[in-house]
Amino acid sequence: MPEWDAFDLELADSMTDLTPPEQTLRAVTPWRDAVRRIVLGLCLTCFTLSFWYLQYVLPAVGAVELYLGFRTLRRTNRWFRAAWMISACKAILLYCNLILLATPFSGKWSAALPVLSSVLTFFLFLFLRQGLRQAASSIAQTPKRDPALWACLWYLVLMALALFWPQPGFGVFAVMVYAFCRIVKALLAAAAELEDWGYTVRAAPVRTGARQLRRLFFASLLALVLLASLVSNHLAIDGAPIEQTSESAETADIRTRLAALGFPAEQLGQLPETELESLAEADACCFEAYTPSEHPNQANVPFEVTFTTVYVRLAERTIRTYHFFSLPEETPRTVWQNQITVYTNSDEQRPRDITGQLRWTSDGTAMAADLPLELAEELTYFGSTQYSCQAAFSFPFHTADRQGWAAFTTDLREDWFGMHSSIYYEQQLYKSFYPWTLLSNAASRRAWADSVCSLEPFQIDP
Amino acid sequence: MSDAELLEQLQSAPADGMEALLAKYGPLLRYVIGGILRDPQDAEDCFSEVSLSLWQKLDGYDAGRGALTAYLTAAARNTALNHWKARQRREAHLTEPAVEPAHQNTPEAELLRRERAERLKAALGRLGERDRQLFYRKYYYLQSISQIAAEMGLTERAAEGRLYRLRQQLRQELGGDKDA
Repeated sequence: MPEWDAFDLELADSMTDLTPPEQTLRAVTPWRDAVRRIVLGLCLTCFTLSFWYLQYVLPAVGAVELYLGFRTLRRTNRWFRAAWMISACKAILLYCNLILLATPFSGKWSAALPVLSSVLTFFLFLFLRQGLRQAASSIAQTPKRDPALWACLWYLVLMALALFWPQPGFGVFAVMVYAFCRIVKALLAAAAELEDWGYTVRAAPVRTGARQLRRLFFASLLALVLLASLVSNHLAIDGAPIEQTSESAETADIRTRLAALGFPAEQLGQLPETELESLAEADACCFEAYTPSEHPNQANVPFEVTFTTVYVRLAERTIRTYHFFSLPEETPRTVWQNQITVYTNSDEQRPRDITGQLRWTSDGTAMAADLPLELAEELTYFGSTQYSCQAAFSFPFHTADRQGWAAFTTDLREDWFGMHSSIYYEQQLYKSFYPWTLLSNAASRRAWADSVCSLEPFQIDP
Repeated sequence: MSDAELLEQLQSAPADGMEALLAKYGPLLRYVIGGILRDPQDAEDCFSEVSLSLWQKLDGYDAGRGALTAYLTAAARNTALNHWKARQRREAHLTEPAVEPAHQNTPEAELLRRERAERLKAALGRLGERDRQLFYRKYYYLQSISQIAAEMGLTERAAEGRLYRLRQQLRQELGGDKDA
C-alpha cells in the first residue's frame, strides 16, 4: 500500500472496527459475480418465452451474461477457458442471427441456429461442470454431490423434449418446466458448493468492463437491427416520371370507345397506351366503385382505401378485370410494406396477361412504376385451385396521390355465368417490423372489396 | 457440515474440529490474507499464525454477535494487517528511524478514532451495495486494484475512478486530508 496517503491509512485503520455486513461478506469472493452471471445466463438461454419479443431479448441477455461470467473464470483452468470461448461463439452467433432476422436472408440459417445454439449450451453446462471439478480438485477438495452433472442431464432432457415435441402440449410443457426448475436448482446447488472452496478461483483481468461491454453489445445490436429492419422492410420500386406524350389516333379511338362503354374517366386516364391497346376488342364494360365506409376493413384498424373494379368484355367469355386503388392522403407517408392481393374465380380459372402499375406524385412530379404482380395458386378446402395475383411493394417516402391498378384477363368456363374478383390491400403495422417477413405472414391492417359481374346481361350483380 | 456442528465439534474434539474448520474455511482465510500480503511466504506464515490464533481463541467466538465467516474474516484481516505493518516497520527501521505519532494511543485519540468509525459506518450505510463492496475490498480487505477490478468485472481504470469518486465523497462527509 505504498501509494496510500494519510486519509487512506485513516480509513483502513477505522475499518478495523467495522466488520463487513453479511451481504458484503458474501459478495466479496473471486467467483460470486462470475457464477451468478453464468447461472443467470444458462437459465435465460435454456428456455424460450415467445411473447413480447422475449424470445430475442432473453437469449441475448443470457449470452452476454454467460460470456462475462466465463471471461472472469477463464484463467482458473482449461475447462473454463474452453467455456469462455464457446460463450463468445454463442454470443457472436446470436448477435449475427438477431441482425439477420431483420432481413430477408435469415431463412434456413435461422432454422439451424436454435439447434447449434442448444449444442453449444450443452457444452457450456458440461464444461462448467468439468471446470468446477478441476477447481475443487486443485485444492484436494472432492465435492460430495455433483449438481452440475445433474444440470447437464436435465438440459439433455430439455433438448430431447424440444427436439421431439417442437409444439409441446400441456403434458410435455409441464415436463419441460419441471426440467427447467431442476436445472435452476442444480445450478444454484453447484454455486452453493463454491462457498467452501470457491476462493481458490482466479478472476481474470479485463480490458473492457462488464457494463461497457453490455452497453456496446446491446447498443450496436439495437442500431444494426433497426437499420437492417428499416432497409429490409422498404421494398423499393423503380419509378419513372410519367411522360406526357401525344397519343396515337388508334389509342385515342380506343379510349373514346371505352369511355362510351362506361369505363370511368378518372380510372381510364391512369391506363397507359400499351394497356389501352390490349382493350382494342372491348365491346362491353361495367364497374363498381367502393367508398371506404361501405367496406370497413377486417382488422379493425382504421384504414380506408378507395377501390374501383372495372370489368371489360374482350370476347364472349373473355373478361379483363381492373382493380383500381387509391390511398387517402391521411395515410401515413412512412409506411414500409404494402401488399396487393387480387383473387379471381376459383375452379381452374387461371388468369393471364397479369399487369399493374403504381402511381404517385413526388415533389409535384407524377411518377409511375410497374406493380410487381406474381401469380400464386393454392388448393382450396373443396379441392379446387384458387388463383391470386400478389405484389409486395413500398411507395417512396413522403409522396402524395398514391394509387395504382392491377389487371388480369380470364377466359371463363362454359358453365360459369359471371366473373367474381376481389382485392385486398394490406399495410404493415409497426409491430410486424421484426423479425422481417412479408405481409402475407404478418399482422397488417387491411382494406378489401369484391364484386360479381354477370355475363348476360353484362353488368355488376347487385 | 454447518457452522453450529463445526463449533460443537471444536468443543468436543478440538483437534478434529480445528481440522474440519480449516478444511472448510481455509480457502477463505487464505483469500483474505492473500489480498493483503502479496508475498506467498508472508501469506503462508500469516495463515499459520491465524490458525494458531483461532486454535487458542476460538472459544471467545460468540455466535450471537455475528456469523462465523465474519469472525474468521476479521481474524485473518487483522492478523495479516499486523503482519504487513510489522514488515513495513522492519523495512523502515533498516532505512530510517521510525517516528511514531506521540498521540496514537492516548484516550483522546482512541475516542476520536471511534467517533470517526461511527461516522464512517453511517456513511457506508448510505452507499449502494456495489460501492460498499468496492470500498470494503479496498479498505477492509486491502485488496489491490487489479484484484478488485478482475473480481468485480471492471477495468482497473474504472475501478480506480469509482474508488476515487467514493473517496472524495467520504472525504467530504468525514472531513480529511484536503491536500491528498
